[in-house]
Amino acid sequence: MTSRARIAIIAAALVVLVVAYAIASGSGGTSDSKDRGASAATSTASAAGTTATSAGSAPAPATTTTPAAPSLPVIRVVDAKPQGGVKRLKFTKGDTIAFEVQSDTADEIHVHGYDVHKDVKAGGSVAFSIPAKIEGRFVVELENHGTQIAELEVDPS
Amino acid sequence: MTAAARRARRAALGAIVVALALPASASAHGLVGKQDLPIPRWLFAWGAAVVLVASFVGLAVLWSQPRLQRIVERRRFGIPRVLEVLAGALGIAAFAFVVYAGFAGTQAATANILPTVVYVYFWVAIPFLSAVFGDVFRAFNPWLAIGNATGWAARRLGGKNAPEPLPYPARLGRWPAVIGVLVFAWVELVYANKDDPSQLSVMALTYAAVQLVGMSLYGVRAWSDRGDAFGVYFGLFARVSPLHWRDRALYTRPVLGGCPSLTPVAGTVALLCTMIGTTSFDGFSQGTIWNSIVPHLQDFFASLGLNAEHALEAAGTVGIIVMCCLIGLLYRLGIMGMQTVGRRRSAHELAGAFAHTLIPIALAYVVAHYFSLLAYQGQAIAALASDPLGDGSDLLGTASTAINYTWVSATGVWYVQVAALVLGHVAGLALAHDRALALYAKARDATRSQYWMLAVMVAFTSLGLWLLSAAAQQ
Repeated sequence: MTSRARIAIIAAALVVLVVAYAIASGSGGTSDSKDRGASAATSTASAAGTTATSAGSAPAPATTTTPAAPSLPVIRVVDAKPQGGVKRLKFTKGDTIAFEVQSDTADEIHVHGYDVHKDVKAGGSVAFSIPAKIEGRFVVELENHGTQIAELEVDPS
Repeated sequence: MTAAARRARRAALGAIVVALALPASASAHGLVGKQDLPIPRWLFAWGAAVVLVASFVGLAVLWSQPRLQRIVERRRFGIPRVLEVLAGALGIAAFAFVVYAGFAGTQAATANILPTVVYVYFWVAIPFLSAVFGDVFRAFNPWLAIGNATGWAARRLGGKNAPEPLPYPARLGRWPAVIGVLVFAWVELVYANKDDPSQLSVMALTYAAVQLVGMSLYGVRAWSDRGDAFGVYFGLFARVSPLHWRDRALYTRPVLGGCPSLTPVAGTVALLCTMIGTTSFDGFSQGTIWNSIVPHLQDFFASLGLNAEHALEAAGTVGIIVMCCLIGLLYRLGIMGMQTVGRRRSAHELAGAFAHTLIPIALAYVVAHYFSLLAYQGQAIAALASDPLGDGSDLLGTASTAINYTWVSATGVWYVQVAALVLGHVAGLALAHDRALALYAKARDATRSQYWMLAVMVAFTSLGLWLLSAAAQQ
């Protein structure tokens, strides 16, 4: 195969991928993503009997990220374990992370990443209000017992 | 119900309660302050599309004569012996210091320098560095340095009376490395006390002792080329680099040039499958499928009499072994398919001939899964170097440096992960193409054989993408 044909194939492939990216990120990547399927972009490579490639991006409809529930999420800790399993807290970057922990055991609650420590008394409760500056998934745990009580997720805005 | 059955049922219920209380997505070790967000579905789909397009384009466009099978290495400059000795001494000193810190310092994992050095710098940063700068570990390898020093002293003192080392058994091959990598990955991902500094110190000393025994039995060179698990592991990644350090000099070669020269001794295929398999398990163990399987496995082991902690460890052991076997099976299927092309070759011969094509994929997996660990926890060296024992000292004035979690955004991490997997895929593809050209006399056979290898690699790369994506983790 001549080097011109090679370059033409590579260039065509790059164009296909860039277009596919624009379509995929446009339909799936916006923060308030709506439920619609993406269109598939097809293209054929040039000359010399090369196989046709189809770059399709059809992501499953993305779920809308609901903002923090109107009522404050409460984690109930019973006997140093989270009632109902490890709770999932979801926020968007730029929001305020707000939740409350009610515990029947005295301990120190540590939010990793944000590195926030707050003590809770036996039978008491403590509220957290942290500006969501860091994206990612973070462990919220009882420091002394070493048990995870929640998973905090901060999505990109 | 009999008393035994009642006890069994209570144990099972206890395990369920413990399992429910365990994290929904367990982090690999307690050093993780921030975990990655899963790759969104649209980016996963696009990444998979890139892999497919790149594969077909590659098949069409790649060179028609083998280019990497016999490479030219250019000697750049020599390295004075003094530097070699200094590097070895530095390695020994660093090893001794961190092992001491593990015993003498605080036993809180993030405040003691040893766990971060082991899991972030040793296990992750060195592969990254090796892929770019060549086999840097070999220069600083502490047990190799001790072995070399002992050998030199023995020759000076004993002269010709020193006994000959035993020949390294061919059937042993790289199997010690397979066991070493598997055990380390088990400790990192499954062992309940993975972060315990003093236990890590004990393990480090045990490993060094085993190395010294191996070197004294089989000779320093022969043992470190095959039997030193970490030396072999890092050396595999170093084959990707254009820099080749050997014979006390620096040579340069084409990128990926070191891979085709991998001699497929016993255990080589198993080693590469174990490398990919253990990193896969790291990703898999954070996903929803594993977290729905684990309680059942735990119940099973609890019913055998294990307590909650050991039942979880047993479940993890099963998971890690199954994952490695799955990767091996995928590779094997590709090889079996390749046997249908051209003249009949044994599966063993083919598996060995193409084993080196998995090196870039193993590297891609390591980069994709561990980049953010390096990017964030890697910054902890600033604070830990000032306060290695966690006792409040401030040797360098940086003890209160906090980790900056925002210097790479979540989106940036996604792109690094997808780019690593795609590049690893393309590199593996190029290596397989090159080897097929050399192995098959007819160009048509070479092309047909590549479809099988391509299928294997698309499977591995898609698996890598899937493990990181929202599909697996939500």
